[in-house]
Amino acid sequence: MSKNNKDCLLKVDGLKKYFPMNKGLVKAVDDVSFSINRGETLGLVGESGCGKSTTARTIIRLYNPDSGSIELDGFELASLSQKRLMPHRKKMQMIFQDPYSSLNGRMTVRDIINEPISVHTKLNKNDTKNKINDLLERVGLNAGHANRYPHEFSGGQRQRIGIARALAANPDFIICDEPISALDVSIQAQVVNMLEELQEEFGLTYLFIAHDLSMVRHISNQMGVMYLGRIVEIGESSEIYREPKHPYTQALLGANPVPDPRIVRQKLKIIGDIPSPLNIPSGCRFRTRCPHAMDICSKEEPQLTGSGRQVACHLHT
Amino acid sequence: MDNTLLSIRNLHTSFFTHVGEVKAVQNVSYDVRRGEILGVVGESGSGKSVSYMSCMRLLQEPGRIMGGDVQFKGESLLSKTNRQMRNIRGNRMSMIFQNPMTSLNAVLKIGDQITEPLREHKNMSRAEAKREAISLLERVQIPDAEKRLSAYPHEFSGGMRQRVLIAMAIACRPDLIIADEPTTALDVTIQSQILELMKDLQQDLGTSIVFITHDLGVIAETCSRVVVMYGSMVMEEAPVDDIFHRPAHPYTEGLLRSIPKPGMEDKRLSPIPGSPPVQLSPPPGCPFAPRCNYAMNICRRRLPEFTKIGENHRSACWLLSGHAPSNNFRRENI
Repeated sequence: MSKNNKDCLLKVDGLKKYFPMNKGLVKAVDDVSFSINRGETLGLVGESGCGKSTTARTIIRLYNPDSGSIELDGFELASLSQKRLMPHRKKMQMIFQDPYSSLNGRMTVRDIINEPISVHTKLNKNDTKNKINDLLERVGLNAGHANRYPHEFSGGQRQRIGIARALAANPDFIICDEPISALDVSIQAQVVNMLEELQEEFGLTYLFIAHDLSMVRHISNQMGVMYLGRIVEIGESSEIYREPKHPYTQALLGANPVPDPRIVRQKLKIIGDIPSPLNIPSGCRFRTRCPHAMDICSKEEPQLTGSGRQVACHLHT
Repeated sequence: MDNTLLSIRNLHTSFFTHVGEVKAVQNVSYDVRRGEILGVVGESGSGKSVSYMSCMRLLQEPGRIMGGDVQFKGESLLSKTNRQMRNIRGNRMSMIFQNPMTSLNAVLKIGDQITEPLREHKNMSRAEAKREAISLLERVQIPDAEKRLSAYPHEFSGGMRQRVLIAMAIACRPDLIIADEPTTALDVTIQSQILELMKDLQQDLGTSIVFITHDLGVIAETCSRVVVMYGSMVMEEAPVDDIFHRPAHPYTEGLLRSIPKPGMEDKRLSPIPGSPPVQLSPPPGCPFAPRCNYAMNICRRRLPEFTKIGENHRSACWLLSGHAPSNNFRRENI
């Protein structure tokens, strides 16, 4: 991975986010590093509880990181105070999974989209109105929708409103946290296509979080696979999809049902559930479910190695 | 005919809401055969779940069955008394729901919940039922079965809870299991374990399973036949291979185009334009006509009838009628 590439927009290094609980420390994000080039998409996949959403929320500073650095467009954000962070906030926006709870039901669509504009820009009243109308049209709605409330819209339309709100501050970087999981199949493709068009039009950079691996493969250039707070494999999505190296990636891809009855794949079966994040296994976190676990796996934690494609597995060292 | 286990004929179900009648199921007819896994696929609001709630007689106010018949092993379910239905539900036909946390009783031990149908329907003694419950839990691969009987639902993970529900569903060796989005709330690796388990059980017990889902991947991996629903009606019914390789309805075709195809992930998706219909004021013709690329005048006026395409393949689309002008749709697919 070309870490010093001048095109790199976001660089995350050694990011950690721990949550103290009564029973102990939940290491939700434990030493995560990656970078995303400008105009590209990194897909982050993994099962629930693996820390992908926490990673996103920490990057956008909804959570304060416990350690590590977050460099957006050359500025270090991890240690900035909320006040100092403010000018950088408009550069990064977020689209959430649930289009029902992520829009304030008591605000009109106009007010929802206006909020980032009034906070982050100095547009006058008329320009603001035009901007809102432009944004609505850009996401496939129209100016007439501006005075309505979220409950008057379908799930897919609400997600479009969420996208318009994210675009309102003219961001460089958008985190899409499972933006299509709550939508019907025929609507998912509409939203994915729109995200791709917007990316081309505005040169946006995405961090795309999802559990639908085929959709992640479709939309992202790079793909990171997370397990219990760590990235176990990261690299070009097409490469990972073609030849997954980490046993967990293999299992995840094998478990993803393929919409073609003629394709019968050999599945790498993994047994059991994800261990509790309060009680992370020693050595490699995946060893308790891994069919290839060796002696060394319980003793030493494998680190991401390799250039280009990186894998954290003792089988590949 | 003997092969038919459940036969739904011209089923109509409506919900009488404050704003008017919502026709949730309209003129739905198809069979579930003995020993098959039938997939029922459709988007939210397509009527796929409501049709089964109607079959099981589990509809609640303001829902009402407006017409049609449902025959289970040759007997009409709609004319049965509530008491008779209680003898059938959980015994001859059982259901697995989407959310394993809300469908288990949180304040009862797992053991009590699994033994309940056995004591109720099979008149087993407490000890017999307990023994049977242990073997059921072992059958669904829950480790430490005997100990786990006295655990509460919150002590199980999502996948394990779904296994418990499956154990309850197969407890009385039913003829039919209706699984309504059984893996939607689960992670993919757990989903794949549960699907494997259900396929194994189906093989062992010869039970018929109806798999209600919106996930075409799950359909492709588990089902032998598929019913596609849209706007409270059946659009197409076919063997699984035909659905994915020779779809004969523009909606089925549209669904397949809107998901990334294996090996063609880099191509732009072709979504179905528009959004699903509002059942409060359904369009007069084909429910899919407003979103259909091939829609003709007649599609917006009259409901299409089913056209038989193959032995087990039928589709409700005007393009397939003899009067339709030649079109690209079928030529592309066949």
